[in-house]
Amino acid sequence: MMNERILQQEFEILEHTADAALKASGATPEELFSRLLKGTIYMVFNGYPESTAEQKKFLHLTAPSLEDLLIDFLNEVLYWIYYEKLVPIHTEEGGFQVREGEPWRLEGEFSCSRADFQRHPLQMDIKAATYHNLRVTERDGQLETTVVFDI
Amino acid sequence: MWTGKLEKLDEFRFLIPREYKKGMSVPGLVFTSEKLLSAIKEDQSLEQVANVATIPGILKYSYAMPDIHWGYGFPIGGVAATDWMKGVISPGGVGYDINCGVRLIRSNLQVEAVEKVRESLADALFEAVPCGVGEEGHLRLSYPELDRVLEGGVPVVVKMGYGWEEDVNACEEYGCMPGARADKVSSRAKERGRGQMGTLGAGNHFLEVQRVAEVYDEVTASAFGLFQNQVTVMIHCGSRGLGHQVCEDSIKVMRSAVEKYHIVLPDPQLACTPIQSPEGKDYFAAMAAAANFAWANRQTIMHFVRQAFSKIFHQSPRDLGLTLIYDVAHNMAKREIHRFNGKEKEVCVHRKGATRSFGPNRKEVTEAYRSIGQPVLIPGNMGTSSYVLVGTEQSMGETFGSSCHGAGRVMSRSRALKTLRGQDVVEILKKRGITVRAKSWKGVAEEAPEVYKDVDEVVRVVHQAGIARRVARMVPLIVVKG
Repeated sequence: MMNERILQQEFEILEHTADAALKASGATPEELFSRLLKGTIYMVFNGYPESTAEQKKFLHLTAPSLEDLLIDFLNEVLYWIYYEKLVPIHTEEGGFQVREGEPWRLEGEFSCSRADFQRHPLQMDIKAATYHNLRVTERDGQLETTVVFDI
Repeated sequence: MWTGKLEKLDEFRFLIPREYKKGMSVPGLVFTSEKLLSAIKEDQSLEQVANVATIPGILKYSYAMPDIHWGYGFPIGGVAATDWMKGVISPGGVGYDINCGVRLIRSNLQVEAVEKVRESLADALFEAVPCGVGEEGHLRLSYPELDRVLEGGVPVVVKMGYGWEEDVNACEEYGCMPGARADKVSSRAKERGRGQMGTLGAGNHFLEVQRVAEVYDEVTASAFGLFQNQVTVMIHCGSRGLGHQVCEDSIKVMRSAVEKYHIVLPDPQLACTPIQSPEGKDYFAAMAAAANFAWANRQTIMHFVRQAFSKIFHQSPRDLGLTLIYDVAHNMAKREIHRFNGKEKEVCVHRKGATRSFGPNRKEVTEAYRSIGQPVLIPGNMGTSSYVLVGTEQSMGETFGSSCHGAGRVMSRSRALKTLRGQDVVEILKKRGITVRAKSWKGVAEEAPEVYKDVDEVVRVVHQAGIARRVARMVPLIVVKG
């Protein structure tokens, strides 16, 4: 059921019976990815944890399509949060690049803060970002997509 | 709102005809009642039933159980059997939480004994069994130990001291899937899992102390060791981060396999590959390993539960009669032999949010229950009943030996949080004699009784339809949630 929406500034958390879904758009793949990343962090912590940059993570991903690259990216970040206890904080454009090609590539550096789960408890156990009905579409110069997460 | 074509066959069976959607090679068969149907139609789960009917090699029907709800790719509460030699296997048909399942433990105790120690028992269980989002456990397995668990399942952790030898016989597949290979599980999956053995997790997973409130079938209940007013313990959880990672890794492989094998699908999350392909064999081996991890996880949790009971009642677990009745998987793809078109056929049965429901005289069912059928364990929610059913002959002939798995959600988590407060839910349950221990108020609100379907109606449907038979009903006394 996606009829009622919680509106955030750069993303929307959509209702889904058993899982959770995130909708975002962006003028570039980087902006789209950044907004979905922010939405993912928001869902995990039910807000944004206070943070200061303490560690840099370099990320290099390749995938056969933009959609595959997006899912790999979000699942990578979920791994950082839950298992390495690192939360990316500088996600604005310029920090990383997405390049079209065969394969598609994402490369960049992410400033991360160390997650303090005592101060900012994890609020949602996201198993993974899924490919469910996943399609990145372009409309009026904006890339748009909805990602369903398995909870 | 789903407005597709649904033909009523009888009171509990509805058909999505093959003509409904291009690419469907079998019809959809939905077990439900008029009462449950309106809620089912509110989301797109029936469309997912039709989508599953398009996967190559699917046999007879794409099934939906009465607890069906909207998943990703496959619906939750869906069953699909494919030809083992010519069909496909799909990680989406198993889910991220591979071998999420339920085990039920009986005791010699009657409810009055728990009433005297209710609060201290709740505290002891909450302390003994780590739970919550991202929570690690008391154990951190070495990589060689983990590999042994992945390939050996319950018998391995029993040898490590977490349980009794007879526990092995009370698990589906005897707690160890054949064909499991640790070398097919990625190092990241192993890293995610090695600290999570013996942990409950969060979400809909739980540990409950229950009371047998009603016995419907005295003979079968007696065979399962159940009696009125008895105290039981139910554990619901799965393969934790290890299983999630196995699924994630596999779906990536399947995305390429779909192109390689020219498979056309209506939803990319249905990604699949021929079972007999290298990708299919690798997935089955990794999934089986994750399944073994899940069984070992529930086994280890049960060991902690036995210790907590022993501490509170000052008796050994054996003296308390804390015996495993059965352990069933809810998310799995299994290699099974079923009758199809009058002949025995090897099939791959995907059960995603569904329970194996084998009837009498199947060699896969442990000897103690073989003449009557396997226990089918159906958890409710923290405010309602859970059920023990037994598998039937009819389920063997009609649903590849499958039945429902629980209540099924009707309300999203975000809507639950808007309308319910965890503190209020706990207070209301307390007044009804249910003690809750939980890591987060948010988690309690998201899992409140109101967010689930009517489990009594779900069980009535499978009982009346004949794909499992009611044996006993339990109600919660103590609930531990992540």
